[in-house]
Amino acid sequence: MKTPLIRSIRPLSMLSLLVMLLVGCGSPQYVRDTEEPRLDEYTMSLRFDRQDLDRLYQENIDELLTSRIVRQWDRGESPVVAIFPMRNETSEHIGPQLDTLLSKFETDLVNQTAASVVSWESQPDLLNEVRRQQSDAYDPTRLAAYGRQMGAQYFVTGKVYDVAERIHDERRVQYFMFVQVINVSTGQIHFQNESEITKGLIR
Amino acid sequence: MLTLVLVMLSGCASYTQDLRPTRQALTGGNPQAAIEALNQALDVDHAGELPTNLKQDRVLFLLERATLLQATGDYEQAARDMMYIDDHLEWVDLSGAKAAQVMRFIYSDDAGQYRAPAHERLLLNTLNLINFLAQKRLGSARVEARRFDLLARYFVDADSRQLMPGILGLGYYLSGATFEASGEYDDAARFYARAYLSGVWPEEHPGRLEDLIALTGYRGRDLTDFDITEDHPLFTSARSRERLSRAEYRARHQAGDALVVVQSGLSPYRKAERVGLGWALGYSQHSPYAGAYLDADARRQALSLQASGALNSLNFPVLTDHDLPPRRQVGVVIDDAALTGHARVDLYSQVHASWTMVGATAVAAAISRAVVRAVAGQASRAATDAALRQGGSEAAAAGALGLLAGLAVQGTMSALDTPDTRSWTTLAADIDLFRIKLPAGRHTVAVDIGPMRDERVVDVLTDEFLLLNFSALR
Repeated sequence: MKTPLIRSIRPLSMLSLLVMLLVGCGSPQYVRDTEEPRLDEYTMSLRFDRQDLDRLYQENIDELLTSRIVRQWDRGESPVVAIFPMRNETSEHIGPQLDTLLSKFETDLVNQTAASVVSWESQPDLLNEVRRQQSDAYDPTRLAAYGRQMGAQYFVTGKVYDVAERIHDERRVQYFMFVQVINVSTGQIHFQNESEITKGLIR
Repeated sequence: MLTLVLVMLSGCASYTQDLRPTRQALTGGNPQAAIEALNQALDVDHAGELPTNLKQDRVLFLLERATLLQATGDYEQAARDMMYIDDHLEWVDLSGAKAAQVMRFIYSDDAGQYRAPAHERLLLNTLNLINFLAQKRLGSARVEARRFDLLARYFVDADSRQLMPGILGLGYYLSGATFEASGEYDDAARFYARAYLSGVWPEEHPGRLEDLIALTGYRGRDLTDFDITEDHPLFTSARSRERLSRAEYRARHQAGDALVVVQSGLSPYRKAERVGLGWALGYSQHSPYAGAYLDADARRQALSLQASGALNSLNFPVLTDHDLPPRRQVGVVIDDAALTGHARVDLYSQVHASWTMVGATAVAAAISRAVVRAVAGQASRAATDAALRQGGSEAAAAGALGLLAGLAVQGTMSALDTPDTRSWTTLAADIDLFRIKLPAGRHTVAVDIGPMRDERVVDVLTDEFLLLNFSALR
């Protein structure tokens, strides 16, 4: 039989238990994709994740490899093509993800086209110049100078813009990516493809 | 069980108390020691590590560490920490919102996830702009400038802009410098115009901005929030100037262009204080910017409890400058020549102003919790009275214990109701901007903060924007 003493203390015990439950949370644990097969499916941020990169890659590489300019390279003398960093015009720090995407393009250009591919990453002087004068990366006269320095006839590059909005605690970022092939000597754009991705933080 | 919980939780220091060693080390001119204290709080071995989770105010500890890493010149790690914080200030709320709400309302004000007020949120991107500009990473600086602009539009309306013009002006000015250094003059004109109109302009004349307006044809049509028209003197003056080419603009304004940023002093921080219920009820209706007021029922209950004498005061966070270093005059000397003319952003006053935006909401929540506690205490006493009325020795014993328990419910929850004293406590009290032109070559830049001096030797190239940040001495 429960005594009044126990009855009067029980609510306090319950309160204490509730407090302890709320204070004490389970420890997080690290997992790999083989242990959690859906790991890549979760959206963790407004930046690009692997699924976004795979989608952007597929939407662009198919268009690029079947484009008139690449068919022209395959028919004639194989040109020297330089991969140049993509320009991030968004409000998200997605530079490393864009570099990853370009590396994927680079792999397919090397393996599936007649082009000889050179990378700006392998040229320290150019790397410093690009970092120092990032804004001039799209100045055709400077691009031509970079191209001549590397002996390149074409640049594969691109730019990403966004429309970012916030309403109360919710956010939405609409990304617009343009992948381009530019003639180094003339500045003419021989290929351009647009892709779009929207990511959001909703309550 | 109750005693155990009381002992365990009442032993928890407030955020302000936790940060005291860090503030003291920084005030003593030893930011490295302050960083080590924060690494312990973050449970990491060194500043290169991020914490494994952001529980127990670690997001704020990380913000304090990033500020101090910037002060020691470790801009890369400071930027990494600030980008991480930027993400997690938003995401953590999503994961544990319900638990946090329960804790915040019933139990303790500072148990929920920390939500940065507007001025801290804006300054996070602003200080990260400094990190990227100091590293000459213009692309990343432009991202921060866009993030700042987005937040400024989100947080600021016509009323709140009046409360923190300097903080907004600082962000706009650094954004303008970023786009100008990038050769993107349209955006530079847009941001510089906002900085100038916000009163943050370190040069004697707005010639740089007028030349930009003439160069780009900027008309200021986006400045509706400043009530600016094309007849504003800034635009009429720009129309009368010779129109420079991009190369001419670059030669006139960007050769040897340097910006010296000096962060000094420390902003006020929050501490817990017991305030009268009458004052709190009045203050809860005080701010026109508060997002949530005390509802009519809670107000009626609070007044009733006050009249019965059951509730007379409550714990509430207030801003204090106790133990902070004095605010000092700042001067810059280049190669033994003192500079004249600069812009001072008074963060100290604007932190106070920003607090008025959330203070009424905070006090309303504190009153609601106090009412819940008082009602819980009264209910326990009512149960005790009922037991006593039944009579008998057992009932009397239960009644006595019930009375104690009732008081304990109220007393314990009152003791555990630690007001939210969390805030960005290593934030400077003043940020001074000096814009200078230096001939190419090696120069000595010395910054005097009161009687203290910080000196640096820099190599200047003619075509490269240089940002020098001094924030180790406070």
